[in-house]
Amino acid sequence: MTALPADKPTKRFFPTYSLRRREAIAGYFFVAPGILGFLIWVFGPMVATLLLSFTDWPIIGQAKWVGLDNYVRLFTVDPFFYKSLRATLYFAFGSVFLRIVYTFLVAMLLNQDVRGKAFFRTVYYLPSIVPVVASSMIWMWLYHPDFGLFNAILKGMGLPPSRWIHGTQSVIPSIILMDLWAASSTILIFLAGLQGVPRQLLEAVEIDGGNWWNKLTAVTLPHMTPFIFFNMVLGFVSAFQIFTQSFIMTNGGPNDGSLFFVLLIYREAFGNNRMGLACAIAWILFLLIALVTFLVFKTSRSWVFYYGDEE
Amino acid sequence: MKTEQTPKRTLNRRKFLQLSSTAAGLALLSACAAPAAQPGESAVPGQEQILLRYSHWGNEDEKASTWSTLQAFMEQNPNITVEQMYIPEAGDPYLQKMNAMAASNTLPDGALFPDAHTLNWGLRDMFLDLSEIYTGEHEKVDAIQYRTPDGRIVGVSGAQEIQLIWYNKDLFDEEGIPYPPASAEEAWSWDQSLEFAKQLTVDINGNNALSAAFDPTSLDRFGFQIGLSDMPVITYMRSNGGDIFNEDWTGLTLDAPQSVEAIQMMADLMNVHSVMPKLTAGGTMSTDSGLLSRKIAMAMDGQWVLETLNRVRREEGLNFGIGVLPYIQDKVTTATGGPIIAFSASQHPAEAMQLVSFIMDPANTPDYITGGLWMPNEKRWYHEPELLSIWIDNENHPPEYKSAVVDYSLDYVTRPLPIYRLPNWPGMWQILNPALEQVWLGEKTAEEAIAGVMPQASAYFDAEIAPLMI
Repeated sequence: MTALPADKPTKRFFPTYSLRRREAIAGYFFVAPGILGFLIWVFGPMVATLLLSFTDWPIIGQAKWVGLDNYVRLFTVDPFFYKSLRATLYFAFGSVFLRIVYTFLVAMLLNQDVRGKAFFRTVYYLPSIVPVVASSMIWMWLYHPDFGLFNAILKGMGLPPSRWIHGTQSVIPSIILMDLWAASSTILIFLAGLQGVPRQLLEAVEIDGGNWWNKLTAVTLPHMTPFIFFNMVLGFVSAFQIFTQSFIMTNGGPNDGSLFFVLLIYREAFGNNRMGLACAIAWILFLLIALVTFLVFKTSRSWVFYYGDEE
Repeated sequence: MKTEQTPKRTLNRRKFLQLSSTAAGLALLSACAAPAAQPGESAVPGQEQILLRYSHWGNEDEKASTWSTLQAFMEQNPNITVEQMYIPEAGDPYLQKMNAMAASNTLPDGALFPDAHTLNWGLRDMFLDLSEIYTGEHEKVDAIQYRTPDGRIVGVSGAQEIQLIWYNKDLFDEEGIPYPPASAEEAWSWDQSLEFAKQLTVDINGNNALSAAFDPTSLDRFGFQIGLSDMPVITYMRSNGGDIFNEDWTGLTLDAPQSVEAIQMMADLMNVHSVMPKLTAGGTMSTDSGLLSRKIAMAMDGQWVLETLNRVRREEGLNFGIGVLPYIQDKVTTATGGPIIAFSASQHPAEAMQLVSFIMDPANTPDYITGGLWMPNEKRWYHEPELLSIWIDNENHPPEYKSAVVDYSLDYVTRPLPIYRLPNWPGMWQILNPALEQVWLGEKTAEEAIAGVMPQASAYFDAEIAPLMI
């Protein structure tokens, strides 16, 4: 700490305040952009949507206070809400669990010391730099029931073709498959985690005569639980908000099979001019994500293990 | 030592941060200020200079064409400056922008507007009544006028766009099949066209759909493609004597036997006859790529594809032709087109109407008319030989255009589509389409699907459409 010479005072804001105080003020200024950004762009709109969710607002006209009508409508007569809820939950749970199993396996493979390791890692990372809109266009062709590559492969193997994103039963699994392909950021996090698994413990298992299975279950998996936990929370948060794939490829169909919540919000707000109803769905989605995240956190105590944090 | 140098610096770190935060703050404030760009002094002395804004969607060519129309308007009206608001994306993203501008009171004066939402906005008095400017020689084609129940015209499609058959001539020549007829008098019946479509549908071993060895699970080319959106569905319901709504728009006739049968016939093209790609509404191949790649021999599509097909003809040598639609009972086609409207919130309603009227005069949009994108919206262009000649006597309009498009549109557009008479059509389609998709997929018969969706459709009609029609 160098004190300023008393005879040459530097011009400064709030000259009468103590240094500690001045530093605190400066600190608030520095965090202000973040805080203001949150208040203006996140918290403000959240409060606004909560209020709007109790109104009937066609955007091109006055908002009318309708109390809980929007919520009642969604849970009783709305023809799309439960279809949308089903599609969203199906996708979220399906994609998050498959994503964790699949990316964990891939990360373990990419963690092996083999020739061309960098090449394989690049190949698995590439999908994440392709914009979803562009990859959706490509996958539409892969999934084409008549001219698509996937059906050509199925046919080559003597299997019956699928309608993929154009079939009521196959649309969600198809979107999950596409999601797995693009899950490289999750692989990256697992890969980083795997490199932190203590070598001495793995060696200890070897010395005790344990095989790869013992190493995996006794050392690797327990050490990876914080990463699994982290990926699960992030996975749920993003999976519940899936939009682009169905917006580009299926427009919510067929038979509303991929009418995800966010697509329904978009359609009600800007296609049907029911902003109040759209805000109500948005709040239900928010509470749903909060609930699932809470449950994941709640259960995490019983299965997430932090090294050096025993008992 | 350090401390002695600090005060001498002209710009130390602290001062730099102070300055830059001040600058950033000012920049933010200036962004909040009212838009300063005004047209400035009037070009015409003694007259007030008026600024209008006109918004539209379209590709880059349409942007340029629209700009030249707006420039022509400004030359004629030196006291008016028109600002072009170009929003590339059509459909919901465009509507989203309109909604956002409505909510923030920043709507433009005139606009090309999403067709299916026109009456919803019109019935909420968002648009000016255009009835009086479309009289006399500027009388517009009947089927493309957006009318409120009390008869006001709140918009007219910038173009009349009818449904037609587009086909790849080479494929017909190779198979020795006659071209789809170019006049309504000779139109193919449904069964005739199905027969030809079977001949044109070929599996990967080269067997067509009439052959005993035909393998419908691995097809290389389809004889036919009909888009599965609302317009083709309604067109074929009408061709079979049915429709979604009754004559005076007061109830549903969706479950009438003729309506149901037409849906089943369309589904059978995919699931029984295998002459059409098995896709739901979202996934049909675009007409130009279907014809060019020889995966589709005939496609039903709107007149607007003519412009694209002409480009593909010039660039890739596509040899295409135009035909009238096959018919079930009655020879019918349907017309659509995004309307050009004037917003009631305009500060200059008279000038806004003047602008709309100028853009709506086909003479002022020559690029659109001669390029093949638009059919004129005005009745006289279909009758007066000089006007007709401007429209179709050019390399973008093939010889069969007169009978297959001009004459066809005059006699066989029987009724406007629901979007021209009823508000909230998109919501109705959101209910009907999932039911129809089950038919397209072969999961349900048309009868089961329509019976299943009728209660919901009726409830929607009673709640969201009928109350606005009084």
